[in-house]
Amino acid sequence: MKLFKAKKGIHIPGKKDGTAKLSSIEFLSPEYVYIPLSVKGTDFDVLVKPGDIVKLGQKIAQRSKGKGLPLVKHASISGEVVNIKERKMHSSGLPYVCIQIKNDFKDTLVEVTPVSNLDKVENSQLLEIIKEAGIVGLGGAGFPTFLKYGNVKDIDTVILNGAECEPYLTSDYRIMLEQTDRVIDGLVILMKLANAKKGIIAIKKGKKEVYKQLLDGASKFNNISVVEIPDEFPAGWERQVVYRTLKRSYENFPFECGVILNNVSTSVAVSKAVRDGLPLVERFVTVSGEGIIRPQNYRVRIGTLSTDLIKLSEGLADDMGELRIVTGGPMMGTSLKTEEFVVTSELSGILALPGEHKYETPHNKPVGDVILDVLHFSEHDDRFFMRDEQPCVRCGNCVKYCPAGIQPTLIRSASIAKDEIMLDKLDVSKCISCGTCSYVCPSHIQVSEAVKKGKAYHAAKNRNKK
Amino acid sequence: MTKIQVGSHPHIHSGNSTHKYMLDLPITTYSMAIVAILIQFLFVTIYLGASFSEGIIVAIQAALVIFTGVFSCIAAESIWNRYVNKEYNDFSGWFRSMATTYPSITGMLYALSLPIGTPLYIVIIGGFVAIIIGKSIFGGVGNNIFNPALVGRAFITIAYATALGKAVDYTGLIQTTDAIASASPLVKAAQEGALLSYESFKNIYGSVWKLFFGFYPSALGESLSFWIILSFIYLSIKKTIDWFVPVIYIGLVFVMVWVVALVNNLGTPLSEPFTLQTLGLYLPIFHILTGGLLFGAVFMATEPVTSPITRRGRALFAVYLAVITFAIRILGNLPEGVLYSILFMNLFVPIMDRFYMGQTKGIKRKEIILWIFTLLVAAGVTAYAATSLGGVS
Repeated sequence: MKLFKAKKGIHIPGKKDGTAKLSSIEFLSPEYVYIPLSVKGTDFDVLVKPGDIVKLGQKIAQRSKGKGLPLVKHASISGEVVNIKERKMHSSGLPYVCIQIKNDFKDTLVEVTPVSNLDKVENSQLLEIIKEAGIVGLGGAGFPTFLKYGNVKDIDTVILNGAECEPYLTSDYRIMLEQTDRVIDGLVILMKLANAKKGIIAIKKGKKEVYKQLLDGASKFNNISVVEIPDEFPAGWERQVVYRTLKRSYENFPFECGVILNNVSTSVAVSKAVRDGLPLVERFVTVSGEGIIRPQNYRVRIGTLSTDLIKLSEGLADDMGELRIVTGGPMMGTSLKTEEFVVTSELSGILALPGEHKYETPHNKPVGDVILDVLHFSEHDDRFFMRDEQPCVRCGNCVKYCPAGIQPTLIRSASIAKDEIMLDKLDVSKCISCGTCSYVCPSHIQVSEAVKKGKAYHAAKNRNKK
Repeated sequence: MTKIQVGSHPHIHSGNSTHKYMLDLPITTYSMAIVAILIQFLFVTIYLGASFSEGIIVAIQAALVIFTGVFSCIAAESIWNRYVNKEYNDFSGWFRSMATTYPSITGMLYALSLPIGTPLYIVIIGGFVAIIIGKSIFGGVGNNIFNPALVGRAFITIAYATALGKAVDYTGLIQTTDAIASASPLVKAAQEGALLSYESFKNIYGSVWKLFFGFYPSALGESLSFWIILSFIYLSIKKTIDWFVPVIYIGLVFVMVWVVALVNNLGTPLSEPFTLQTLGLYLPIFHILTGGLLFGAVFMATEPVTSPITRRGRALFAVYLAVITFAIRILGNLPEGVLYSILFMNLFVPIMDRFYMGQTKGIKRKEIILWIFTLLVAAGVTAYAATSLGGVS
């Protein structure tokens, strides 16, 4: 009955060639950095004041309220604190309160206590190091890593997720290629933390260079393996990685089936925090998309402005009409109002993608042109996407490719009708907002937007009930 | 300065469109219309002994029926969109309206399901009913409950039963005394009783290849089995249709009719030299190649708007289509069951969607119960048909 199961994903053209083959460029000396705290900024204890001189890696803020305590922020350059209430756009699309630091271009390091022998330290000490280094998930969710390893029991496998299923993004690919030893070292540390016997690095099929290099690196350890997962979207989703590497499934969190997942860049950050004592101050960012003149991967300090990176890539194309500035991948990323925002720890890519146009019926044109226009023979232009929304013909593509196995188009109609009972029956809460339904829709309907609204409506109604 | 656009994710699109998706149907059906006209000409000149000029008359008549069918559907859609929906007022608007509501595809499917002798005024009435009653009053593309082409066909079948009964008759068009010329095979089979013996099958139709290439009186497109199979392969490879729907539908009809043939000892045992009569194979082949089964299964049962949205639902849909078609053909009074089985099952699409609602996670218990029930129904209908239909007529 495999035929009638919902497909686990869809192959999306990667468009990674532009950046995957270029080695990353270091950009570690921005003039100013902005360390983002939060939208209001009141839930952080700021440990510095304007005029203070800070060193690279110095603790400058600590979260005192809310979930995930204590989340620590560090200065990612050395220099003088200019302002502690600067407002800058965050990569999530909201203005955040930031600490602005002026660079003195010396990179004076704080005192560090590297750990060279893992056997001599306790797990609790390691956890404290990771907590103090302020390491969060670098894949995109930004979940504090120490919480995952807080009270582990019955964990037998740690999986490093290097699938990177979003098109355009190659930062994880480059990090695996350039810092293979760090990736594996981080995995060893994480395995020790979780008391896990097995370590798995999951990468996409067809990346031979990385596969070979990871195998070479892992050959020193007999309990680390490299697993290839299919080149599909969303193969990098936690559930799918766990299912495709171990054939296990779980209800809410991966630790239920004895697995902890981390991104490969998180592993590198953990390795740096433990071996060098260096907190989370830098990350890899892909700057790519059709609207970027010279796509490239960068190793940057957290808090760098995106405009600096776009300038390094020779700017945005100005012959393409409207562009979309997207943080993250093109499938799940957010499109921002400005091109100036702060590089945060969650940001894996800055993309400038061609905008879309509403279709307009051609008037006063020769008959031949009208026919060609209406039949969309001019549609396949890489520089823009013509959105010609038409009624749903129930082709079933969204149902076929939905990775969560729900029926997006039925949810869409229930969402428009605000039918709460129907939404509940259709399991709307299982939606992961991956955007596959809008991507495949031949009628160019924004299915995922309607589903998102339905999900929010359903969640609000359920909250009221409780 | 570059302008920045804000929009919701995803920011890319696969680039497929309903136009591309719908373009495959004209490719297969419009070529089929040309083949149909050609086969009509060859059929009357080779098998019915008509002269060349009579053959041309038949070909022109076939072309007229097809043209009128398509034209009436486009006219109906144009009138509705112009005066009821007020969608357009110039050529480009009209063309876009026609390109996004697809009356040409509905019209061609409708025209190909008509027999050659259908009076043209009936063709026009059927076309208007197909578009307006079948689709437009429900709200246009994507909102229709029934397959529009079949609504038009069913309407004229019932309303003009006498005129359409004579429509497969070539005797009005050409001078012939051939027994084959006056009625479609399924009608003849129904006259002879449901269990057609191998002798009468062979006496009337000669070889199975005649059925395969459409050299027998029937609706214009429905008889072209070879072309429909080619279309099926093309559409399946392009993923325009779900290949398993026609396969389940036709395969199950084949199995059920074969069981009837086996139980009634219509065939010869395996020990004898292999012919079509071996194990009664000719009966299921006859049932698949004649009538609208292939045509309906490939072009009508797979129409996305009027079939369930989940793949499992579509499989179940195909199974019930097969059961109803079999029941109407073998047990009922009507010679042809495909038309009504598809219309009947279109009614159940919302129920099937409702059944498969929610996350598909493994196979649910109620699903197993439903499948067991379905297969029991199929087995029960087959068993009843096989035992109740007496001996060879």
